[in-house]
Amino acid sequence: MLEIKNIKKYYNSKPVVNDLSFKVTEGNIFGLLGPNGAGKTTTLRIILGILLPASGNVYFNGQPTNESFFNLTGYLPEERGLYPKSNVRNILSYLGKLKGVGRAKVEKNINYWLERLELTQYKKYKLEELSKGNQQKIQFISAIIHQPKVLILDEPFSGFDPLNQNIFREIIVELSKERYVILSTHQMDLAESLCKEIVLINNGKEVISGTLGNILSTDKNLYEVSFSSNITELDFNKFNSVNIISKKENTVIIDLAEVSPAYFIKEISKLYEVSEFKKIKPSLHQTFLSLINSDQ
Amino acid sequence: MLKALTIAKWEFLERIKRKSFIFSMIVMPLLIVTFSLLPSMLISDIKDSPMPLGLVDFTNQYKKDFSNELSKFILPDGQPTFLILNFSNNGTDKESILSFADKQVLNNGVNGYVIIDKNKGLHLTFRTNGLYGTEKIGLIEKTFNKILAKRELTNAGLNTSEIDKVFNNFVTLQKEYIEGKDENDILKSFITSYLFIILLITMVLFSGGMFVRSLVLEKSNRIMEIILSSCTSKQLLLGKVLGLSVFGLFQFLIWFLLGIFLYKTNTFDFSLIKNIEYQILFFVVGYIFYSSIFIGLGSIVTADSEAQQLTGFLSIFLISPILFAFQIISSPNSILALVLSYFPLTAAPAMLLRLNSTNPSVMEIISVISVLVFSLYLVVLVSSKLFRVGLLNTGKKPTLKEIYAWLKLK
Repeated sequence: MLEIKNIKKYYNSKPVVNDLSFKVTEGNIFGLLGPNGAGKTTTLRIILGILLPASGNVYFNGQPTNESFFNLTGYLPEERGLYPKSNVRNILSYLGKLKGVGRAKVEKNINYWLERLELTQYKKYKLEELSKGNQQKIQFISAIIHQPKVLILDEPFSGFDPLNQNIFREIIVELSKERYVILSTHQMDLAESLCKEIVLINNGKEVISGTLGNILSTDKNLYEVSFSSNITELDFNKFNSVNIISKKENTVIIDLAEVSPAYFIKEISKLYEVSEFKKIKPSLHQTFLSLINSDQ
Repeated sequence: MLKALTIAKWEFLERIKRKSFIFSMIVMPLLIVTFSLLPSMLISDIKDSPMPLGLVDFTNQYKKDFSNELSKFILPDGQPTFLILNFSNNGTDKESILSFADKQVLNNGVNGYVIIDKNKGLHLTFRTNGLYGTEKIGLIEKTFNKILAKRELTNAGLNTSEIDKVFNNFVTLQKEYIEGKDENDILKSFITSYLFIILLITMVLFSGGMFVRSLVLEKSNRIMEIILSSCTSKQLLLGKVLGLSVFGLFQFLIWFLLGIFLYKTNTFDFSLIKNIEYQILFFVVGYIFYSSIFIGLGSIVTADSEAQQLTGFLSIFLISPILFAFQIISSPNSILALVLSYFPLTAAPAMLLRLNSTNPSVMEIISVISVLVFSLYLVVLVSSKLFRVGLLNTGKKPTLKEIYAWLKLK
């Protein structure tokens, strides 16, 4: 079990991670979600040991993490880049050895992953000589070359075309079976399709956490309302607790919260011509927006 | 420790594979050879070549004696000191003769010419367009006066043997140098003093600059995050310092081998470098000192342009003693020389200059080394702190206030 317990981190006296706790279980992909500036990257850096928390701890298998934890983690940062002037084999070998893996095993793993991702012919190429997509693949390999027990992926699919996204989606699912995988992403559909558990954070604090099933079945009163014509500005002032989750052309998704659907449709029909009104099952994207809106 | 060694190996191997390094290994030895040979080449050119000298005698009374007397001066290699060319008949009048002689000088046919003329008394003029050397001018003047004196003595009734006796009793001023070197040796020593400084500057700027640029790259493309998720900042610092030191040592070794080659082939006179053991000591301590500064600077900078600015700033201190080289070498114990020797940023190059022209006391050498080592300790303390905090700093150059805050962090 990987446990993050009551971690706090401040920048210039301002809390960027504020008493955050969550648990990651083996064999599952854990989603760390939140808007920009929520504190996701800082949290990941604290888990990895790059940054020290002001307070709180990270525990792995019940023990506080220390230097030996470095060798158990693999990290794919959101902003990518390796050594452009060095050759692919040397880069992977260096990063593998830096994770404490012996020369023979590193070589074996390099050959395996290059072959699996059809990059064997580029083994002795300088990184800068590869296409952007292939450079991304090398970056991904560098995160898993030492077969880490804990894999931390920050926006793993950015820069990949749909074909490669599918390939890496399968690899991540495969790797997660015997590992602890933390996935940080803005792509809610991706998180929804891969993660079993998530924590949503905003302003460094937890907004909600739990299994995806539980989170999506929370008491959200989501409705899709379609209007006969495109409404440029909706006047929902009289419904204080109603939240607009999203709006696209003449359709809006709203969270009625405690407002009765019958009352809402009666009142809104006085203002606009409604063509359709139906209850919907919330997606993670909608839930995310709803929760973040209500948190602000 | 193993991770630090992995980092050191990577840093070393990645640097020596660079084209810029291979280029420097070719260009630097060429520079060294040039700097080694230049002094002796320059000096031999001044000292050993016979000098063409024009002669215009409007009196028509002295040219024969003057040519005979001047041709008695012989260079150490047996060649005549002067090659006399008589221009007295190259023209119909004074103006045309002088015009012809001027042209010879301007076309480098001769280095200059002597005019003997009688106009309200005897006149001796030397016309030239460049440097001729005060020693040779002195010889020309002395020779002409000797001819005049001989004629006066003959007119006074002395015979040739009596005249010769007078001149044979003349005393020549002998120059003696306390350490047995002549002016040329001192000039050679002066120029060779630059050798160590240029090596130091090149090594520091080349390897230090490479180090800073690699840190900037690692920070800007976020490899730093991957590395710091694999080892501690202390291991990273140790690995980088080790890699940089081995890289510097490797460069030094290559140049040392080149030095042995120059010594074996007698291309370079190593006896001209005084206090070589102390020079090597100041070279090594100076290199480590400047490299440590680069580590601190590398942690602060976030872009290549900033790295270049800071490298330029540091190189001013490295080069500054060269600007005062003449003063330091001619007065190695002056206040200026001492101030530059005890100021940590200029201590190493200043001492490299002074050690070649004086013998500082052991106490003085210990004092300057102590200042350097203590400064090195402070620089390592500050650099390691900046390194630890500054590694994840990207995008924005920290303000002095922020750097101060980093230094206060525990």
